[in-house]
Formats: sequence, structure tokens, C-alpha cells
Amino acid sequence: MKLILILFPLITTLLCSPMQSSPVQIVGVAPSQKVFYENSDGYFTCKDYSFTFPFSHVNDDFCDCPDGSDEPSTAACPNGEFYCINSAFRPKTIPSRLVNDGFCDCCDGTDEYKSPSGLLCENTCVEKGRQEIDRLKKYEIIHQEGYRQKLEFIELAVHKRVEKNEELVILKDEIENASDEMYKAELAKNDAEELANEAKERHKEIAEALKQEALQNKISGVFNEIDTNGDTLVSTEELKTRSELDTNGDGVADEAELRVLFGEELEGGVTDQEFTKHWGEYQAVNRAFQRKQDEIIHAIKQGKETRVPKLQSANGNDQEAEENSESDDEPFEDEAPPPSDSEEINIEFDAETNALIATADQTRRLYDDAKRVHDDIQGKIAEINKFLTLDLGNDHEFYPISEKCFSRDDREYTYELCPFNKVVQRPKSGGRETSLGVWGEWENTEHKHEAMMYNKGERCWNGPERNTKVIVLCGSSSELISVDEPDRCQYLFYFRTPAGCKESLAESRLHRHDEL
Amino acid sequence: MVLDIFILLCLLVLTPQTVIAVDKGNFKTCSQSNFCQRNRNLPEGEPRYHVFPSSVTPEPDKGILSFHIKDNNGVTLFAVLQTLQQGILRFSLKEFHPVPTHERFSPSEFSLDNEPTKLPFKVLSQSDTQIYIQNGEIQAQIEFSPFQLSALREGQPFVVINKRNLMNFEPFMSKDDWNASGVDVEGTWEENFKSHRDSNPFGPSSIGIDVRFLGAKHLYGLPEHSDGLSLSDTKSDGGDPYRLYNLDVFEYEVNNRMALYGAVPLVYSIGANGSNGFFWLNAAETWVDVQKVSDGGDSVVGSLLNSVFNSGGSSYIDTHWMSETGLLDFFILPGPTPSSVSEQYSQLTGVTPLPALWSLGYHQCRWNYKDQEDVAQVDANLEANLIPYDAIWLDIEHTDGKKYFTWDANKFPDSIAMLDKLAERNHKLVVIIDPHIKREDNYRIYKELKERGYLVKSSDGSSDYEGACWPGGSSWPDFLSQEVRQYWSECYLVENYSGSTSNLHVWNDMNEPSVFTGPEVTMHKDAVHMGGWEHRDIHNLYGLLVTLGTYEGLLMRSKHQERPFILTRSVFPGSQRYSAVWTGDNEASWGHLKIVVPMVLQMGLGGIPFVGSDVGGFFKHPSPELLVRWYQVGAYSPFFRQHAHIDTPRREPWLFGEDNLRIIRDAITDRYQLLPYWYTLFYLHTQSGAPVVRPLWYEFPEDYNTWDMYEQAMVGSAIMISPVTEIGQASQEVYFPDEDSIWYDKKSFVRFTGGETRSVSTPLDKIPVFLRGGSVIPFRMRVRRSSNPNPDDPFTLYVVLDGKQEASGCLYWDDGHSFSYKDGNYLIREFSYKNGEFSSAAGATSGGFSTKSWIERILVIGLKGKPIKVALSSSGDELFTKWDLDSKTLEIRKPVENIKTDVKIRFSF
Repeated sequence: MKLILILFPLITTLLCSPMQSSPVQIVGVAPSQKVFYENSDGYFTCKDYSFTFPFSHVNDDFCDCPDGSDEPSTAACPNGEFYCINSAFRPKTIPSRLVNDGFCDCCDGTDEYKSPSGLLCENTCVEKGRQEIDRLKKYEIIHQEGYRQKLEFIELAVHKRVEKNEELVILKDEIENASDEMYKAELAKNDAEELANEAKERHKEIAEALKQEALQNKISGVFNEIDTNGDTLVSTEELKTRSELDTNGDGVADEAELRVLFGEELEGGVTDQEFTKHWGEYQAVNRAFQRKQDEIIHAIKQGKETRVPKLQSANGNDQEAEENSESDDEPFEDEAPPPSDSEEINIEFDAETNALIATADQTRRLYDDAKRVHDDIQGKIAEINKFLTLDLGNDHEFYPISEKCFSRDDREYTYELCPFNKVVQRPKSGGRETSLGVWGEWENTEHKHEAMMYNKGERCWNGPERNTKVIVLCGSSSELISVDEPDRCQYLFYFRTPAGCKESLAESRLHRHDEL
Repeated sequence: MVLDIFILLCLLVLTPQTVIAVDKGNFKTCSQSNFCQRNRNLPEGEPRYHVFPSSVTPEPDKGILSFHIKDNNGVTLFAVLQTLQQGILRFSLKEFHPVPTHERFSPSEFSLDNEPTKLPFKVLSQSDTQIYIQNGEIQAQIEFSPFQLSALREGQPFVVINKRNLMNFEPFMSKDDWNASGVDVEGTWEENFKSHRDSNPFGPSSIGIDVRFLGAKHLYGLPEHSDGLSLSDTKSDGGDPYRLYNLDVFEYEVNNRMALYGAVPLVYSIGANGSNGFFWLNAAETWVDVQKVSDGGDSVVGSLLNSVFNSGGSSYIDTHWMSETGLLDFFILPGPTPSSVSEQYSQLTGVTPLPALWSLGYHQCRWNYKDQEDVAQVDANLEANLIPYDAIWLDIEHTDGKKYFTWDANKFPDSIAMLDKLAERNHKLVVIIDPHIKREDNYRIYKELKERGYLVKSSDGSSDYEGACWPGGSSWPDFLSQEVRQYWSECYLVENYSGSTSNLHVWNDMNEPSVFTGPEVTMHKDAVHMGGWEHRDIHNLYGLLVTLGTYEGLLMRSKHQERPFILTRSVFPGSQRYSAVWTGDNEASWGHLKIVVPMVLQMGLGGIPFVGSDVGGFFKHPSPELLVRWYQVGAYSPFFRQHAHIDTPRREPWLFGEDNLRIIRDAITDRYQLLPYWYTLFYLHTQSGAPVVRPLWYEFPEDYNTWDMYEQAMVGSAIMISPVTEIGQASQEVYFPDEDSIWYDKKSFVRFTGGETRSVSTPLDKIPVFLRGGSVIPFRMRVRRSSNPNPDDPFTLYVVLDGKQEASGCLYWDDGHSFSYKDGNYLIREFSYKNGEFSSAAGATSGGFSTKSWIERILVIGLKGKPIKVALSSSGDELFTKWDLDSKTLEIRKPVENIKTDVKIRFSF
């Protein structure tokens, strides 16, 4: 805006004395309000009827009315308003504090009728009007094209919804059948499983008895091996020869070690029965022994320092040695644990049981298949329902963009908006993408469908979760027109799309700065 | 590699920590500072210094009394006592024999406005044991053995120096001599702190003195600390002395005696001897111990007795001043009132020249307004929401890689267009220019500074000192050098500062200096400045030197036509002549809001009146209530700026809903309407050095109830504020000082009687602001886009009557931006109301400023009854008035056609 500097005529200063000045011409009044400022009886009443006073107080640069109505042309009232006619452009009401403040707020320049330093405003309304008409024409074209496409979008959406609804009808039929099938298969499966389980149960009892017998045989075998003299008692001497019972690794299984295992029953030798009673303890000690043997072998194989000295360490250090070997021996962890007694005997089912198990397996497979079919259909139904209930606009006009993604680059990043899905940011230099939010909801604006919220993005370091607000504008094509981060980790996108166009140009927001 | 570490450290400093709290381990305690320990541990009462009687040489006509002092080791020191204007005494002490290794630094050249005027004294008596002289109304007595200096009024001592024999003067000596002296060497020559080593090549040279304030009940001053106003007893709580060492303290705590960004070694006392001052002129690290000794306890009766001036109350306050090095140089300011102490101090160190009117408006700042578009949006939103403002600010992100005097070309592709667009609507831009210079060879300023040898040197004296700050590896210009300051000044010229215009103003931050990689986040003490001065010698002065260079630059830019505006974070005595200051990186908490008023008061007492806090708190996010209350404090602080850390959500006024917006707008409107008063206060400051916002006791020293108050304050002498600084506070107790005074609520005009504490209701939209009966206060009720778009806008006067139905006040006015006031282009109006007549008359020194501005309204508050007639005394023409029954105020409509017109208005009852 160009300002022209002129000198005030000298006479102005004489007329400007506030004491005697006659009211300045009534500028800043809307035509519809002019009637208030007609001096009919020499008095003026504030618009809010608060005071009546001589008409000479109108526009005398002193605020008399609480509503500011007595000073339409001056800056005297804090809440005053000044109306610029702006012929050839748009009328505008500005706060009266902007009157004569050295800046041309009205394109007709009427707000600076007594500007400080004598600035005069050039009337730019014609030019602005022309620009406005050009702009409106441009907008009109964009809007028309946008709205035309929006109708196409709606049609696409209608078709899609019809398609989806038809699909839904079929799927609903299908899911009924599938439910039936699944129910039947489940019954058959349950029956067969019951029969198979009963047979297994029966067989298990027999197998348990066999297992006990086998265990007893094993125990007796060991007992007999220890009982070298065959007197059906294992004596302390016989036990002392057993290196696996040398729990502290000092080379001999002494009485103390043996007493830990067998207790009182060591006195006078351990009978077969007593040995069976202590089989558990024996097995534990034996297993630990086997483990240490394996360690030594392993260490030797690895060519590392042998752990023999540790095994031979003195009493009291055993605990530590044990702990060390525990923690140091990660490689052994992977090896299969020693077989437990109960698994030493494989149970073979008889033919009848096997047949029942096979039947049960078969019916289970059939059930699983039926369930999969059912769940697939259910999944499809859920997907369609989600689609049908997704708020894609009053006429579902946002449908076509819901299947696409839109991106925009700034200096460092590529931003991508996948409407109704997610927003991400990708460094242009490569590297991991960052979520700026996933679809949340339409923001509750006056007309709805004007701003989308994407929430719960990746949390900022020491900050909040990222989120993105996408403001939807009307355009003749769909395009992400700007990306911004006004607050740390709070993104603001402007997105232009035909879906954002309204029927009338006036309602369509075409520009970033159209206020929400 | 080194650079990488720097960047890493930089990031660490940048990182907001989950728990907001200062890391005290980064900063020294007295016990970690060897000289502080050495001085603090001196035995009290052991005579160590003696005047050599035959050396005493009075030169009464010259105002100089010199003599020799010998310490117990036989070292001779040379002492000078000077008698200055208004009874001020200056004492300085240095080695008698020239020191071969290093000199003692004095910041006088920079801190003192000019060489103080020495006045002749009279020798009242002189003997082998003492000398007693008279300087105006003040006497000074020097006792010889041990050395002791007393300042007296009417023969009554009020300040005694070296009463406790804590004076200490470590003469420079060789390391061998020091070792031979038997004092522990550990930490005296080389000192380690954390990973930093101070080579301290010249060895110990600390100085110290004890100062007793007789009859004193409270001491105030020593900015900058985040402490209450009245200095606390540093000995009784086992804590540290007050520390004065300019530091960038990350996330500082409130109610703490730790050092902060600025240092003004000045205290005021109040008590039986009125108010006296003591000013310790030293730029090195300084600690001050305070010990309160009370005879009658703090009982009301005791205070009452002591509140009677010159009654010789026997309580006193002892202080102990300790500096690491430098000249021992101090001033005793005799008062005897708070305003005379501030006047005496301002005569020494100068005043803040009239600020540009716009700089007293509202400032909108954030780290960072991102780009030109962002600036335009913030400007548009302020306008759309009817919020006047004067400047929008850009923090470090506006630069190209934190290289100051450059622009990020992607974010600010056309900064000149931006500056011009702001200027169209009378708005300014303030940008940050920090003193750390990025070490990048293609950065012109760095290259030139380096090539010309203008950078501070490392301890080796030859290589450039290097540390890390925002840009990573940085160096610092040696502002101690006039040549370097000249270079820096020229950087601001529009032809040298590409993308700038005269609408750009300056913020000098990080000028302690902040060095992220240095000891205590500052420069190594053994870094070397021009002339071989160590950084140790000048540390606290560095920030002032930066602003001095900037000030000269901005003057040069406008060919000495326009008043510069500079905001600084670091200050030292004298800084007031160049810059405004803010209280640094505070946080959005109620505790930090509460400390704003005392910190503003403290800075004002320190002679630096143009001060304010980051509205909303720099770190963290304020609740809407906290933000609103902070605006209410900010609107009544001399410097009024919203600012926020980059990691906080946006907090511009329109982001908190319509109600909060309205209340914030009201606070900002209050500020703009009162600008004529604020401006007049800044003018009055130039005349007397009086702080603009001042403690209650400053205005009412005889009302002892005010002595320990710091949450209420006076804006000038006519307005009292009692801002709400607590959450959910529906009402608060307000003390109305001075039982002879009457006070009126600024909005409702409800009347309060002085000497009473009353509860006032404080809903969120209420700022407890009170007008003092007896004042005439100038307003401009028309709030525009900024401070001064229409110079013809009229004034409104509030005539606030006292119990005698009298009032007086004044207005200073000029063009608000140039230096033409120095040529007489200003006006001073004296207003009064007395005997039923209002008068507006030219002030005694009124200049020739011409204006069309007029008086649209006079509001008379506190009239006993409604006058039957109000008319011009000269013509008898009746004036149009409106009487408000509820508030008993009388509004006179359009009484005066030009503010310069002398007028008398007669009230008939």
C-alpha cells in the first residue's frame, strides 16, 4: 500500500482545537446506521439508551456512550467501531483504535482522515476490487471444478457402498452357513475327542503301572551294581567307591557326603527298599556328577583352561564353584536336559486307541477348517462394516482419497498423509520413518469435515506424542499443500481436495487463511 | 573429535531434564573456592593492619587523604580516601611498591559514569592515633592502630570499616615467597574444580574487608540473586555467603544465595541511622557474608524504637566482602534516606538514559518464531485479538547455524521485507546477538576477529580461547579492548549487517559469558584479555562490555539520532547506561512468579531500573491461571516480555480461551494506558537515579512495617501493586503503608486507610493496584496498535486527593525515540490540586517540545463532596463534568485543548 505524504494546510491547525471544533463529517458509519446520526432535535441518545446529551458531543473526540456509539468517526471510544465503505471493494468494520493511527486499514483510506504526520492513504479499493474479482473468478473455477469432482467422488462412494452392501448381504448368508458348518464340526470334534480321551485315559493307567515296574527294575539294576558283594545290602564301603557320590569333588565319597544322601539308613547298610526311597536324591547327585564330567570334556575340547581345579576345590568353596559354573556355562544351557525317569519309557497306544485318536484329529482338522472359513467371512464383514461406518463425509465424498496417500517435501523430510489411516515423516536422507499420528477423528468444527486429527504418533524425546491436524480445503485436485510444526511435535497440514468443496462458493474454504 | 564432544556437551545443556532443578554440583560453594575459604576463616578481632602515622597526608583542597598501611608481615600498602559529592567517601588500597608480575584491575573506567568529583574537606583533628575530617555533612575518622575507618553524621558513626579486623590484602608475590609465608599452598596457586584446572599463574591476591552498619535492621541489594529482598544472615544458617560471579545457571532455584547472571556489589541498610549504602567496586569473583546482630531482638517494640531515625539503636549488621583479586576500592554512600543512597550511587555509576517509549510496551517473544510466515501470523493474531504490542522477538534459531549477524535464508528469505512490514504498523523486531562466535573459517566475523587477534586468548596467552556454546566450538571477542568493541559496533551498521534495517533492535544473551564446556559454565579464569589481564580480573564486567559495544554500534547506526534498545542478561555496575535486563531463564511455577517482584526490586536498587521477567516462565508450560497472573505482574514490571523455551507448547495470549484472553488483554491495556506515567518515571530516574519500581520501604522508610516486605511494591511514588502470586487465591491481605496516607483501588476507587492491612478480593481478573492519595497520574486511555502510532492522542489525568484534599504530580513527554530532548525538545508539566483549584503549569525546566496532544479528561478521586461548579479560573467558563455517585469521582470532560497550555480550574463547593 502506497502512502502519499502531504503537508497539512495551515488552516487545519486552527480548526482542530478540540474545544471549539464543530463535529467532523460523519465518516465511518454504515449506511444502515446513518439514521442514528441525523441531528433532528439537537440531542443524541446512545444506541444502548444509556445517555442523552447535546448533539455537539457526537464525534467531538470524547467518548460519552459506554457502547461507543457517539464517536463513530474518531478513536475516542475503546470499544468503538469504524465502518469503511470501500466502494468497488468490500465494506469493512475496523476497531476505532485503528482510526488515524498512521496505517491505512481501509482501502478507501477513510480511516486515516487525520493521520499523524499528515499521511494520506491512496484509495486502493478499485485495484483491490479487481484483484478480488480475479481471485473470486479463479476460486470460482477451482470451486466449480472441485465441486464437479466432488460429485464424482460421491458417485464413486455410492457405488462402492452399494458394492459393499451387496457383498455384505452375500457374506451374511455365507456366515450363517459357515456358522452352521462350524457348529456341526465342533460337535463332531467334541464327540471324537471325548472318545479318544477316554481310551487314552484307560491306556494311561496301564502304562503307569508298566512305568513303575521299569523304574523299579532300573533302581534294582543300580543297587545290584553297587552291591558288589551281592549281600542285598549296600554298605558304606561299597558306596564310598562310587565317584558320582563324591559331591564335593575331593576324590572320595566320604561318610558325611553319604549321610546327606541316606541319613540314618546308612547304618548297617542300605536295603533295596531304602535305596528306592532315596532314589530321587541319588539321581540328583548322579546328574550333577554327569554334568561336571561333561563340562570337563567340553573344556578340554575347547582347549580352554580345565575346570578340574575348581572341582577339586576345598569344602566351603563348593557353593561358589557351583554358582560360577552355573553362570559360566551358558553353552550347556542349550543342551537337552537329562531325560526324566517318567519319560524313559515310551508308551505305545494300542490299535483301538490309536484309531480313536486319529478320528479325533481328523474331526479337529475339519472343525479348524470350518472355523477358518467362518472367521474369514466375519473378518470381511467387520472390514465392510468399518468402511460403512467410517465418517467419510456427509455424502461419503472423502471415499476416493481414503484409498490413497499424499506426500509433500520440505527441506529435510518427506511427509505422507494417508487419509483415515496415518501420517508419517521420512527423512529425505534416508532412515527410519516416524509416525506423526494415526487416524483419530474429525475435529468438532462448526461444519464438521473441515479438520482431521491424527493422534498417538511416536512420542517425542522428552515430549508429548506427536499428532497432526489436517485442515481440509476445497481444491480442484487432491494435494497436500503445506506442512508445518507450529508447536513442538504438533503438526499442522493443509490439504486441498474436491471432497472439501461445498455446494456454494461462499461456503467453500479455498485459502489457507480462511478462518475456521 | 574435540568438536564432537563440544556438540555433545551442547546437547546435554540443551536437554530439558525431567526434574527441573539446578545442578548445584556444577557451581562452587565457598568451601570449593580457595580464596573464599581463606578470607572467611580469618580470625576475627586480630589486628593485622596499621596506619603509619607520619605517612598521613591530607590534601583538603584536592579532597584526597593518602597514607600508608603496614601489615603484620611488614608489607606496605598505599591507601587513599577521597571525599566526593553528597558526603560520599571513596577508599582504595593497593601495593605501595609496584608489583612486577601483575597489576590490580579496576573496573572504574567502565562502571563509573565519569571520574567522581572530589570535594574539599576540612581536617577537624589529627593526632598520632587518628585523623578526623569533615566532608559536607559527613565526617570520616581514621583510627591508625589497628586501621579502622568510620563514617559519621553529626558525630554519630553509621558505617565502620574493619571493625572486626577482617581486612585482608594479599600482595602479589612470587611462589617461593608465598611458600615461605607458611600459608597452605593447596589450591592457592592452582585450583581444581571438577575436571577444570585453574593455573592461577600470579598466585593469590585476594582482598577483603568487613563493614558494620550501625543501627541497621535490614540490608538490601547485591543483585542478582533469586532471594527475598532483605538479605538473610549468611552465618546463622550454616550456608554460603552471597556470591557475585556472573554465571549461566541452568534452571536456577528460588530463595537461594547462589550466583546468577549479574553482579552489583551494592547494599542499602535501613534502621536507626536511616539508610546508608556501601558499594564495592570490583569485577572479580566476590562473596559477601551478612551477619545480623540485634540488641532487642526483632520485637515490634525494638523495631519501633529503632525506627525513630538517629535515635542510636544499638543493633547492627556486619558484612564481610571478599574478592579474588583486583583493586580494593569501595564507596560509603551516606544516605540518609533510601532515595539519597540511590541518588548517590547513580551519581557514581550513571543512570539509564531515557528509553525509547516503544521499549516500555509489550514484547512478544519465543524461542523461536520459526520463520517469516510465523512472524506474520503472530503479528496478525495479536492484531486480530486487539492486543497492542511493540516488538516481536527472534531467538537464536533465526541465524544461519548460530552465526550471529546472519539469517537462516530458508526461514527468513527476505528479512528486510519482514522488518519493513512490521515498521508499517509501528512494530519493531528484536533479534538475539550473542557474544560467542562460531569457529568457522567461512564465517566472516569469526575470520576477521581471528585474523586481527581480537579474540580472548587461552591461558598460554597466544592461542585463541575455545569453548562450546550454541554453535558448538566458539571463541569470544575480547570486549575489554576498545578496538574490539569498535569492530563489534560496526557489525551493527546496516551496511555491514545484511538483512537488517534500523527497525531491528538487539538482545545480548549468554554474556556472562556462558561457556558450556568451561568451569561453572563460564570462561576459564586464566584466559587472557588484552593488556595481559586475566579473565579472573574482569569476569563480572564482561557482560557490560558486550552491551557497551552494542550500544555504541546502535548509536553509530542511527548517527546518534535514535535511542538504542538492548536487552542483556548479564549486568555489572554501569550496565544501566546501556541496557535493559531480564531475570534470566526462570520456570513456569508459582514459586518463580513470587520471586519476580523481589528480583525486580533488587535490580532497581542496584541502579538498573529497566528490568523484568520472562512472562509465563521460560522453562515448562504454565497453567492458564499462572500465565494470566504472570501477565499481571509483567504489566507492572518495567520490562514486559513474554518468552518461552523451545520445548514448551505455544503460549501466545489467544491460546487459552476467550476469558483468559480478555484478562490478559486487560493487563496489557493497563500497561499501555499507563505509559505516560512509566515514561515519566524513567525520566525521573534520569534525574535522581530512583528505581522505577521500588520497595515500599524506599518510599516509606519510616514505616518499619514495610522493611521486611517484598511482595508488594511501588511503581513510582503514586502506585502500589500487590500482585497475586499464588494459585487459586480468591483474596489477599494487602498492607497499606503510612498511616497518613489514603489509598484507592485503581479500578473501583474503593478507599483504604494507610497503616492498615486489609483483605481484598482477587478474582482472576483482578490486579491489586492502588493509587496513593496526593498524586496526579498521567494516562493515555486510547490504546492503539503499539505505544505511539498517533502522537496527538490526548492524555487523561487522575487527580487522587489525599486527606488534605491535595495532590500533585508531573508528566514528562517528548518524541519518544530520538535524542532531540537533549536539545530541549521535551515538555514537563507540573500538576497540582490545592485549595479547590487544579493547576497545570510548565515545569521549571520545561523544554520546547511542540505537540497537538491535549487533555481529554481529568478524573478527580477522593473529593469530599460533589462540587457545585467546576470552571476555568481565568474565564469563569464552566466545564462539563460528570459525578459518579458510586465511586465519588468527578470526571471533567475535555478540559484542556493542548497539554502545553497552562490552566487553572476552580472547584466550587
